[in-house]
This record gives sequence, structure tokens and C-alpha cells, in this order.
Amino acid sequence: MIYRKCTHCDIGNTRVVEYSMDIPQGRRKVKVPGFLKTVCDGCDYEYVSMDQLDHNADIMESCAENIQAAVYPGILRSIRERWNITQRQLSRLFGAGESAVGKWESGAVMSGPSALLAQCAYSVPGTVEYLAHLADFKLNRRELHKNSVVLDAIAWRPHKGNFVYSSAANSHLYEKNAEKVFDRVAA
Amino acid sequence: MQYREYSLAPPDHDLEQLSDSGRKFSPRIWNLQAVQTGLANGALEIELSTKASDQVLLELGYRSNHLKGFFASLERHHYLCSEWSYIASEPKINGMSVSYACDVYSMGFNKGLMKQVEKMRPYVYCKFTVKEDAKKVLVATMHPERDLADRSRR
Repeated sequence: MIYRKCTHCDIGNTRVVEYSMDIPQGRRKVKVPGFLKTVCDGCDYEYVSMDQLDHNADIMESCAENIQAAVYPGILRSIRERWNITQRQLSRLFGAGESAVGKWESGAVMSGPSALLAQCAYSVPGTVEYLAHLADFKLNRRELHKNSVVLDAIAWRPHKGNFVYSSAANSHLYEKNAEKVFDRVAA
Repeated sequence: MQYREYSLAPPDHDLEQLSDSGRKFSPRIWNLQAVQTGLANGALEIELSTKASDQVLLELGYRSNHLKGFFASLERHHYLCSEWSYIASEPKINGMSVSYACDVYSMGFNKGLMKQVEKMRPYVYCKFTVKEDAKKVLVATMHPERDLADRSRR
């Protein structure tokens, strides 16, 4: 498909092509097709436009949600950004060594179980709050992103002495309880 | 507003023959405020080299709005250095690789909050140039700072 003139050489025509990327899956890698980039027929210059970046990010998100233990460094960073916590703090929540998350974010291979835990922390609402509760770690709610889906789903409620996760969809008490339950977990 | 703050003739040698320090120069080439204004009003578009795109996806988990937020949050004091760089490994025009004058910035950025956050380490390292005639900001490299290599650039 001819797209437009190349911004690099101003001579060649560019076309959109598909390519594959290797996504870490625990100790292995899985080849994922369908990523898009633009290539110039004249000078071989390759680039990714903003539309293509969003398309490629959708594929990455889909991998993180649908392929077991498909965790790449950006996932760990996203968890930290969602909660505004440091690598060391996330290591603590995962019950890992102090520098574990730092190493994983730098590309060190994660074990399958670690990757699964990270995948849950990323995808399953309430996981990070529960890990924080177990680690006796206080998440600072004021630093959370106001529009985060995590905030929408925080609802660990006490049930027969245990905290039970209750989604916003199935609990009409959610809104009323979320504040005080969160405070209890955070405390 | 001019995007270019400073002009410099490209190096005579192939960049591969130059050391890291040989590729560097000062002062900064691009007017950050003009670039930010251009991105905000649509006069400039961001384009990523495939290398930068893979880094942005795998290591940062960014989308286009995060990239725009990153550029909008940059301040002049986040500037690290300027250097000559190839935008990608292959592009050659008339058999010659083309080098671009790039500015390098580094900033702690939280894409959830869409703002600079000092404690969000490692900082995000971003090397870019502006292709004025094409109205593009070309990002050559963008990844979390690699401690030793990137700090030595300061």
C-alpha cells in the first residue's frame, strides 16, 4: 500500500508493512505478529507513526491480558506509575529481593510465577491493594491517578474476618464502603 | 517561532568512526518551547524510529498520548546534551548515511499522572531531532536511563 512520500529522503514512496515482535513470556519469548511500521522503498528508512504506535500498543495490551506470563518491562513500570511507587517498593509488594523489579525492568528474565504475579497486579483490580495489605505497606491514595481503573475497582470488604474482593459491578455497597475499606487496608 | 536555536555543520566523518564524546556538541540545537508549541497546536507530529518504537512499547508501555504528555512536560533543565546521530541504521541517501543533530533530555515521568515526577526512576531518556521541512519531531531513542551509560553522558 503506497502511503506517501518519505520524510527522510523526500524521494521514495512509503508503504505500511507488518512485522513481528518477541514478547517475553516468563523465561521464554513468544513471537507476536501484526505490528505496523512504515518503510520507504527508496532509502529503506523505517518509522512508526503515532497511529501505528497506538495500534502496536493495543497488541501489547492484548498480549498482557491474554497470554499467560507475557510480561515486559513496560508492564512493571505501568504498575509503578499507576500507584506512583518506586522499584524497591514494588519489589517489596512482590515479596522479591530489593532490586528484583529494577533488574526485571532492565530486561532480566522473570521466572514464570513472578511474571504471573506481575500480570495479575497489572490486570486484576485489587491485586496491588491486597499485596500491599499482606506486605503491611501503605499505598498513598492521594498520589493515585484520579481516572485510574484501579480506583474504580478498589473494594476489598471485610467478610467473616477476611477481606473479600468485591467488584464495582456486583456490589451496591461499593461506593459507600470503598473509602473506609481502602483506608483499613492501607492502614 | 523558530524551531532551531543553533546551527552547526554536520561532521565530515562517518559517525561510526567517531567516539561517543566526538559525536557530542553544545549548546542545544532545538528550541524546546517552540517544539512543545508545535506539538500542541498540531504544527509538528511525532515520528519514532523503529528502534525507539520498540523501546517505547516494551520498556515504557507508552501510547501516543503519553509521548505527547512527555514532550509537554519537558523543561529546559532536563536537557542533558546534544549529539549527532543516525535516526535508523539503514537509511542512506545517495549511498550516504544521514546524520541528524539531536538534543537529549532525561526526565522522571509518570504516564498515569501525565506529569513530571521526580521519584519515578529510572528517568526516561529521550533523543530527538526536528525535521523542519517535514514538520516532524523524529525520536531516535527513548528508553529508561541505563544507569552507567546514560549518566556518563551528563
